[in-house]
Amino acid sequence: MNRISPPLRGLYWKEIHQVIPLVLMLVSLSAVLVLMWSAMDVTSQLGSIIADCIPLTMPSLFAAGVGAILVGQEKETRTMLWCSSLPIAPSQIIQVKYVVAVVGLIMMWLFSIIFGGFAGIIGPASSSWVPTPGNLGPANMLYWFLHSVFVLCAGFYTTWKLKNVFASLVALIPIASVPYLTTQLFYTLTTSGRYISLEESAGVLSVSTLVGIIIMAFLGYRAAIKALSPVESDDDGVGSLKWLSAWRPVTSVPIADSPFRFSLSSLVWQSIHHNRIVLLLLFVALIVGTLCGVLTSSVQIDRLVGGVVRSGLVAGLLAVSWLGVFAFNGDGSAARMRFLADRGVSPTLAWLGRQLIGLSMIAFTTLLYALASYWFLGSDFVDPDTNPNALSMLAFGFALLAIYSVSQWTSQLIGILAASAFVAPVISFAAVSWLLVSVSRVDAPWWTLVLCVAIPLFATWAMMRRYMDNSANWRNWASGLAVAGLLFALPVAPFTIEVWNWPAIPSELRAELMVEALRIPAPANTPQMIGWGTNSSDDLDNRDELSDTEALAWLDKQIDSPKGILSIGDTDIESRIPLEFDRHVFWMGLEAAEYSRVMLESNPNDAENVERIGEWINTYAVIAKRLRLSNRWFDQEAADTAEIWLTAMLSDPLLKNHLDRDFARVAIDVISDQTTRNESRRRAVLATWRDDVAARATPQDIEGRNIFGPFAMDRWFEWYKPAKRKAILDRSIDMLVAKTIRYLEVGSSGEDTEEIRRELHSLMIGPFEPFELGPYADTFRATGAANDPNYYHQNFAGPGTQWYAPWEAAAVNLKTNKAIGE
Amino acid sequence: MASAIKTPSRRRETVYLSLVLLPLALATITLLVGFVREAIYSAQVNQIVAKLKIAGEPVDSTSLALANKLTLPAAEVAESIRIANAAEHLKSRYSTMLRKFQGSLEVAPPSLASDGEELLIRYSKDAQPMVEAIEDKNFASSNALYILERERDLAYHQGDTPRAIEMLKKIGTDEEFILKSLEFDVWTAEDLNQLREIVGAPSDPDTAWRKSISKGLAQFLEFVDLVDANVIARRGNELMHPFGIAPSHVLSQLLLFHEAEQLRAIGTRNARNAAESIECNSAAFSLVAVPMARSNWINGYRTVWLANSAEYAWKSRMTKRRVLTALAIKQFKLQEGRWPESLDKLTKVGLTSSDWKISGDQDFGYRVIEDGNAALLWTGGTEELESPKWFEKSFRTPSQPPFQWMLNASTIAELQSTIR
Repeated sequence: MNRISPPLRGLYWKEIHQVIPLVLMLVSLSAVLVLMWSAMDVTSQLGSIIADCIPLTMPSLFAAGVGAILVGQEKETRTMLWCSSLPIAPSQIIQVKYVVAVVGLIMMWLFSIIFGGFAGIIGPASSSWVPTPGNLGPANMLYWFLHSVFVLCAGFYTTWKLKNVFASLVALIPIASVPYLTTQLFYTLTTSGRYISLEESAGVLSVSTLVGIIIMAFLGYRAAIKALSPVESDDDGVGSLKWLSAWRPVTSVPIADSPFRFSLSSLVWQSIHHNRIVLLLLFVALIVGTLCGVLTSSVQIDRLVGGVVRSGLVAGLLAVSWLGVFAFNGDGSAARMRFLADRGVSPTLAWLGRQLIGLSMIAFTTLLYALASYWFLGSDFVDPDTNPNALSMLAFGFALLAIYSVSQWTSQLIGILAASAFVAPVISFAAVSWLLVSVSRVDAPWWTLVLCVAIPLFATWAMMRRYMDNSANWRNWASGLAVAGLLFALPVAPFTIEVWNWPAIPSELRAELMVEALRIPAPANTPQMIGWGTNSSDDLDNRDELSDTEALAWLDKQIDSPKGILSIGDTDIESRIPLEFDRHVFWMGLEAAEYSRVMLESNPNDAENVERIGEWINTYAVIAKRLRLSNRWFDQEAADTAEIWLTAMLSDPLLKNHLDRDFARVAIDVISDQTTRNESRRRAVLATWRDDVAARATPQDIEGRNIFGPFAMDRWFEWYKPAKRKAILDRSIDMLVAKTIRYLEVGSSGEDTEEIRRELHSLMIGPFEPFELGPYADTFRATGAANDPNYYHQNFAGPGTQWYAPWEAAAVNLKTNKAIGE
Repeated sequence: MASAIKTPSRRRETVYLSLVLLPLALATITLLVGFVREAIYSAQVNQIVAKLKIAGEPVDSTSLALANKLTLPAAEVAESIRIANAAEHLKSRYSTMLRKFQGSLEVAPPSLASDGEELLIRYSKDAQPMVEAIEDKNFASSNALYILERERDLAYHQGDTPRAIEMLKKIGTDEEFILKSLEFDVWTAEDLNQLREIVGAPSDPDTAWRKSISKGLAQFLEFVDLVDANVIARRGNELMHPFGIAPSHVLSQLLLFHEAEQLRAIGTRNARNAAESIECNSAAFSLVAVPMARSNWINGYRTVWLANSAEYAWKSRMTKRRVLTALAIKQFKLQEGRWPESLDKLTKVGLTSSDWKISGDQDFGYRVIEDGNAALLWTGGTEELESPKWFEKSFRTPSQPPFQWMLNASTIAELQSTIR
């Protein structure tokens, strides 16, 4: 058995220790993303995009960064020279690095799956992003794994090959897309006009990635051998006299006005020149991204070259984030800042010197964007029908500044270029998404957004001295945590405070009402729903051809009496079976009853007309009485409507001479019973509330809460945004119940109810409609003579609008007057 | 040989610093200009709203509702609703069957045997109490109109033209019915005179138009207030305008409302397209509106509404003229025993040349066809565009004015300059 030699063991130890910070960082990042995702609406588009990205975050970022950590960082710190001086063959050094990287990658995939499972447990039940073969598909899973290996090999190749780590990371982006582009080219050449899903193309993608892995591993190995080979000395072309070079005087002497000046202009000059190529590349990407951003405002253009434009936009956004990274890691090593610290340069000056480049480029880009979008939106180049639109200069600039701010903070906090280059875009995009979600869902005020952008900039300024001294310790991470916490909490803080302080009914009152509600027994008999009568047009609906005779024969079978229109089962006025309301049938019946009234009006002495209206009055008296037996709140509202109609009918002079008939007597007994009306309402309000409170144990949206039955509950509190509405719903319903109970107490004692009706209007109708125009106003409350059931029907959104309205007094008076008459 | 160390001159450094600071300064100044511009627009919007308030115009849906509050006595309102409910019962009872006979019952002259006639007679009998109530109290709900329309159909079919005209007076002008009825020789000369009186009766479209614009403006201003108060959830589209609508966007809409009269005066589809085109090309471009530089959603919504209203108003005017011209042609035929050779001849039956104009100087299309046995009236464009194939009788009028005229750049430019 081969034993690992001590130097090799030491090398493994070193490599593993180099990778551990990256692993910890990625695990923390995934945890933050999972936390953020759990706090978001997972059904939203943004939520689903994040859900798709989370499982790939850890392995893909590890694959992209590990090369830069294991090779690039060693190049920067010159420990590579130490490695090559060890008694180990270069091939073994390369092998060790590859082994550590691949094992780390496999571990990242395992972590990702474990994290996914964990998030599935803590997240909403609908979470479906856990990377299982079920949702990503086995072919896709294989492709993503192979692609991460490919990126790892490519990362090693670029860092071995290029001297500058930042440049090697930038170069990695186009290389990483090669398998995808190759596959697209393959399909373009072999198929046309057919949509190819990722699932379908996963096989070809996997093969091209596999070939890519072989090529990249080979190229990487070659570049590594070259990098680890002895360096040839500079040949200045003097041949055999080369040994004299070291003793020669330099051809020119550095002449500087003030070699140790550190004015802002010097620092800016240095910031530009320490990595000009990368800065130039970022600048170009920014301009391309900006122009693509303008182009995406046109649907027309988006359709033509959408893929290219979107890629350009992503490149631009990435460039903004990397500008932030460039601020502190642009020169590849934080240690260089120490040079400035050692020479007494003020941290503020150094901070400004680092930030001005990025801020200036963002300002330039924003100006370019404003000009381009102004020209583009007004030009004939775009079809106005496509409704071109674009972010304003302020919104665009602010978005860029937010990405930049978070990225520069990340880069100062992490300090390692290879890690921050990949972590910063993820964190900054996540932060901007969080701000967007906060604005759209919980109305985050503008000042919180401004603070969220300013805080990371302030943090890097405050930590600049420590950063320049290169004294990383727990204070850095504590400040990092504080900034992250503020970014997370600030935008939602005003909403949370508002919701927290939302008025609720006193707990004593709530407990007291609940005790009473729990005592309410279930109805002795099973409630029955109002159903259709014997009339039906089903047989006619399916007929294309119909003769006059057939039509008339069908009409003759239709009955205008209650039996034909609706069925309520037991028609005995003494029935104890509660009735439940059906909106459609109930109103069909009332319309037929109104028709009977018009018939009576046209011929008041016709006995048949009197009998027919009598049947309707009797039926609605039974309906009203049985609806009062129901424990559903809404049925009490329906009973009110039936009683309002009965009151109007029995107050009509048309029936003056028929009030001694049985149907009138029965109906007057029902509608004049104020005690039953009061008791039934109170019982139904409390029983419905009790059932609603029980249903709250199962979290669901307002639409799913059907305890209130046909009340237009989806319109309740709809003037609040969904998140707020959801947060205050239970307390608002409690408030509604407490107010209606008080309403019943005030009304039944004969006091004026206007004050409580105003409160109910404000609670249930919202701030947009004045009380005078709302359903709780006197104008819209039924009198004995003015019956407007259609109006009440439309305004069931406001419960109890007709309670203690004049019709109730009119109903009671009918009985009193009748008694006097007798 | 050691290479020379190059250090920049102080001047060069200063140039670099200036180049870096320049975009920052320019961006700051541009944003400041944007804010100042919005502040100026805001003042202008406030001024306009204050003027509207002083003029007593409603500026939100509450003031609109209060302005239009029903003044009818409660008992009368309740009675009209009860009649409407009873009518609904009758309609739902008969509607399935009446729908099945719709083709044969629609504008059927007495000469044509009609399926469903017995059904219509039964319906009329059942509806008589309702008809009386509606006639007595002059109710105008859609259900009431349905009953009166069936009464009219039956009267026309039975040749009872005075009753049909009586119903038409209560229903209001039903241009399609009148136009189609002219295909048959049912109306007498006296009937045609009465029909011309009904159609030509002075209506008050200006008041309706102004009311509509006033309502649209009030709703728009209320919408702006709701967005500014960040309570937009009730009106949907919550992701838009989280920080309110920029005054520049509001002002651009207010100006469009201001120009509604010009838009209405032109009115055609061309003008409508031109208005939308103007909106797209010259809508306010704000530097600091959040999030969008232009508010296409709100601007577009209102523009389409305004353009639709203008087009509708124009169409109504044209339809009225077309019916009057058709009635005059029919009168001429009854009077002279032949079709008029051209529209100019209609002066004989009391029309003036402005009565048969579409808009501007263009006349309705008119031609005597089939060797003098038939005549064709159309509203513009070409005859072919109107596809008058379904008119098989002696007099043909297309159902709708054509709007297929194609837009070209010069037309748009011309109309834009007219509107602005």
